[in-house]
Amino acid sequence: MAKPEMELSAIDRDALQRCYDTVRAQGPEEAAHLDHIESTSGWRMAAESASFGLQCKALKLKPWECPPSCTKDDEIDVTLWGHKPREIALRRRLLAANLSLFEGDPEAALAAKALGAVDTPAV
Amino acid sequence: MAGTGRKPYATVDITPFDLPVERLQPPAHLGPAATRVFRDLVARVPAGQFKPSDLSLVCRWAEWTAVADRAAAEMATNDLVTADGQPSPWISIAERASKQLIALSLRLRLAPQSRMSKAPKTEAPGQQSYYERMAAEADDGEAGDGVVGDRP
Repeated sequence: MAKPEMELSAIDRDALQRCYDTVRAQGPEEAAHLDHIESTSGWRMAAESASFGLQCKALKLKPWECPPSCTKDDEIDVTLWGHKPREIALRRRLLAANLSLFEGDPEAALAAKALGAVDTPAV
Repeated sequence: MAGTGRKPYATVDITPFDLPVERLQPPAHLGPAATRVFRDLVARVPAGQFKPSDLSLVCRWAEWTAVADRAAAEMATNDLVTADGQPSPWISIAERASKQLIALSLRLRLAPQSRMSKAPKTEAPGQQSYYERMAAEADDGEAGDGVVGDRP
């Protein structure tokens, strides 16, 4: 379930907006899909859906692997989706780099941060 | 009448649910550069392409690739002719490494020739996820800046 709108930080909102814009730009079907989610559940759910899809694709995740946008806390539990050690490790890397968990391409964002880029790359 | 040449075959990558895919692991005696080449090669071909009995050939491929890379770097950064007017020894090293790699590429079915219609063909390899690459690089004991895929 999405957190209340007020809990979104500026970097989260920025990352979500970029994901939302990226998916909308992929084609009319994608835009219509986002419109449907937005009309029923709001902008944030649509943007999180966009982030989820982009992360799964960018990280080449298997169906049972969790993207960082769906990890809810730092607790490691190998029996729970979103709490596996490597999923939490990626979450911690993003947070340590002051990046949003909603970055569409977390690996590229981390690489850009490591190179000292001022802005995160466009997803 | 049936076509000539070897019968093509297709390999299908099936990833077991939440289980690691069994791929060849580099032996401990391989150097760091050869180990990276080994892992890269094994990750880029279908999981079933290499059997444990192929380990020796794959190791030779990794070692000669590392030699060829080193020779290429030396030739790129140094003069091709030595101070006494002789060709750089790295030229012959690169040449020998290339010959070995060409021979091995046919045996290991890595070259474009192996993907032609009359030759055995392979389907696209199953891609490793970010987390699977994290696991593979953790096995190497590599320490980077936190980004999977960072290489020297």
